[in-house]
Amino acid sequence: MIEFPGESFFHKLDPRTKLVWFGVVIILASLFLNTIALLVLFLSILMIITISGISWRIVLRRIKALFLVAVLYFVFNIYSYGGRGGEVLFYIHRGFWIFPPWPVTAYGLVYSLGCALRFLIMIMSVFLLIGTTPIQRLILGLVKWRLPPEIGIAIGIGFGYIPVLIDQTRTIIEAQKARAHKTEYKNPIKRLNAYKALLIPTIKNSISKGTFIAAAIEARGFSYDIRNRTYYKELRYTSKDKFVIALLIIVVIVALYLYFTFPEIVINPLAGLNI
Amino acid sequence: MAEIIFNDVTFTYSGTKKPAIENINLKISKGEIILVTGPAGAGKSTLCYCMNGLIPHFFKGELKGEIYVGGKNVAETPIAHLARMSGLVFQNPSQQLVSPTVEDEMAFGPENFGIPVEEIKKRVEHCLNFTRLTEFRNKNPYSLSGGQQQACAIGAVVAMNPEIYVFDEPTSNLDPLGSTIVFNTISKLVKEEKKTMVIVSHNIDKVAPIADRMIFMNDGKIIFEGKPQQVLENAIEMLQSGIKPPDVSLLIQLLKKRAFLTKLDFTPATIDEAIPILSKFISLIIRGKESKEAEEAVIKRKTNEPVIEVEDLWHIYPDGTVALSGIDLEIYRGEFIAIIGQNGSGKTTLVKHFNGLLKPSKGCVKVFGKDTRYMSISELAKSVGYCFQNPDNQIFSRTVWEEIAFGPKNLGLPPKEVERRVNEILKLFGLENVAREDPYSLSLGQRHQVAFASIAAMKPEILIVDEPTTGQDYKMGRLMMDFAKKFHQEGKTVIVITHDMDIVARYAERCIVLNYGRKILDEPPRKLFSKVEVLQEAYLEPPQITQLGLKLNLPKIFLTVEEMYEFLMSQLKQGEEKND
Repeated sequence: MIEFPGESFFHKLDPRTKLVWFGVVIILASLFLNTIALLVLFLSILMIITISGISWRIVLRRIKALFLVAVLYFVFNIYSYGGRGGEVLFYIHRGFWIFPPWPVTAYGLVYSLGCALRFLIMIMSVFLLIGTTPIQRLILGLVKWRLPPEIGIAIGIGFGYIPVLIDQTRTIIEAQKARAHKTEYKNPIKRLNAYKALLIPTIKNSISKGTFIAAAIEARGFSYDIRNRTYYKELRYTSKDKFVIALLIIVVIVALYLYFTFPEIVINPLAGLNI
Repeated sequence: MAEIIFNDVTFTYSGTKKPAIENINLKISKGEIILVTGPAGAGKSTLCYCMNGLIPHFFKGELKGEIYVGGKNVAETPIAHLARMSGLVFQNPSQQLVSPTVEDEMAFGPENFGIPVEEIKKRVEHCLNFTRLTEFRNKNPYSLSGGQQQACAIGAVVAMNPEIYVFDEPTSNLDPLGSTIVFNTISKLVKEEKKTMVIVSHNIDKVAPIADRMIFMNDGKIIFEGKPQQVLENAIEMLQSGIKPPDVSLLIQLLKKRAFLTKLDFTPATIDEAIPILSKFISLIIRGKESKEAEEAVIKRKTNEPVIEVEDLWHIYPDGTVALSGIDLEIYRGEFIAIIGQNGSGKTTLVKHFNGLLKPSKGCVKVFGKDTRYMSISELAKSVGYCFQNPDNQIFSRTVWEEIAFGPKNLGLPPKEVERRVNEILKLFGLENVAREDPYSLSLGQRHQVAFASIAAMKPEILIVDEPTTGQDYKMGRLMMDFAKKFHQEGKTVIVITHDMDIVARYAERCIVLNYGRKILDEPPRKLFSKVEVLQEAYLEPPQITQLGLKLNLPKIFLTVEEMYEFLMSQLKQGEEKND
């Protein structure tokens, strides 16, 4: 699980405020193709990580694999769009055998960088949202926004149950290993068949556990009057939330103004860069 | 008016033919505390589910007769309204904890009832305090010990402030320390809140002193009902039907059968009650003093050939927990060993080193002289069989036959040999009749046997059995141990992990006690159980009969009721001969 516990300004925001922030980041990242705008957005996320006091070491460890995906995404974009528009900066190769030449233009390069940046922005904002907000508070935020409480609570129980399932799976693997069970077969069919010994008990156990959990929540009055249930940890907007929401509104207004007034700059990755 | 009424109630689960409970008539008054006991399949859980509407609203089936709880007809009242009156604590903590933190768990019930937040806060504080979980309030319930998890589940029900509490075997999956935590919590609840309580339990000696009435069920029916001390007059019948009455009850009943203590018109459940009765009787019959020297002071070994050697074994889990610190141990061929200790004392970690599931962090483990670090698990599986606690963690085949054949096949045995072995094992375990059946259609007790048989079919030289009696009734537990004994009689080495001191007393030749990852005792049972203080440190209690013998200052250490009974009879006989 992604968890960056802490007590910072960002941590203490109402989950709904963070959801709004998250929405704004995603929309801006999708609307703006301008590289400078994306860089600003990316820097704002790095800034939040810094003020939240989250250890960079942990963040890097968590996103290492995704960073690799971003690099691959960049390479893929260079391959598809690298030669678009404007004069050629350099060639990856000048063509040989059946391969046509592979030119790279300034536009292609910056555009691909922007795409990778956008990917990182989206992923890191998800991490920040989930990592700094306990899952039940996030769900409560959604319930306050009319997510049916049944669904909210079901999701909450599901998340809470992950450690139990992991533990159970580990035991099943060990129990079968103790019977000399192996899964390391070269033949894929044999290997698939071998997984049966792990999958069947896992599924059957999960189903029977699920039934008992359902009975247990009924025994605790879950279906009493679900629309009017109360919440022990109420959400409350504080002045911090109001401040952040106000800031976000200003950002959105400015962004929309730019978007409609200077559309050619907003969607041009190169605009503002002296290339 | 009675709080709970059962009017000729019969319930049959859908998909089954035999009723789970049959013609139950029962009235429970407000404030009464009822102890319910009986073997597996007696219908105890079904009875509990009827009291909060899980039957017939959640678990479907055919319900005949009427049930009233707090004056409301259960069949006509929604389950959530019944749940507000009658709070149910289930057997297994992992079947009922649903929240990410302890305090959320306690708030869950009151939240559902729409209770104002201020009031919920008060109740949560009270319940945290009551269950002594305040310092764990922000922890995930599953990170707590088993006893604390169950205490949390009880707290979550207390927070609902019900009129009736129903406990469905709240301690049968816990270690002795966990059971103590739970029974203390329940006793506190009895003292502080004068509520109606139904407690299903096998620990009769723990519950009988607080119970007003005791009910013994078997086969879906109420067989005996009355004050605990009266119901226990049937201790021998209860034992025959598969549960274990308190040792002192059984002893007194055996004596009564021989026309002693005839004036006694009740049967006690606890040592404190039994001592005044028995001390007089015993002072009359015991002559001369035998030496208290236990005859098994030194462990007798059949051979001097070590099969497992453990040298300065340390195990540190990736999260930094030191599970084992400096264990030295030699296990010889043909020994019957019990490894005892609380959950978290390192028992399972230790034995997982014997079949290679875990490798030492420091030190070394040798099995038949070979270092396990250089052996694979499947290689070790040929000589070390490990039977896990929960059979449902391994059963996956379509038939019992295939399930038992799985291990031998994995060992690469030729099909003929596999077939021969499976048939032999089926016969040994008395499972021939169900060989072609789906193992999931069997009872839990039978599934335990299938799991055990599937290990036995691999014919390991060393057999490890992890908690064969937890969550089972007495008869089933004894049956499993008798299989282990058969194995042992063939000259194999048997290692049992258990909390059950009765099992230790009856079967083990050598006991290894672990506490906080260290070996604190390594003795034969008779010597072990005389060290009451050291055991207490590890939260272990000798069997009730052993404690009774010690308290009565008898000249020997007794492990079983039969032993003490025979000793008393022989003393009597000697006395008679002298008088002649």
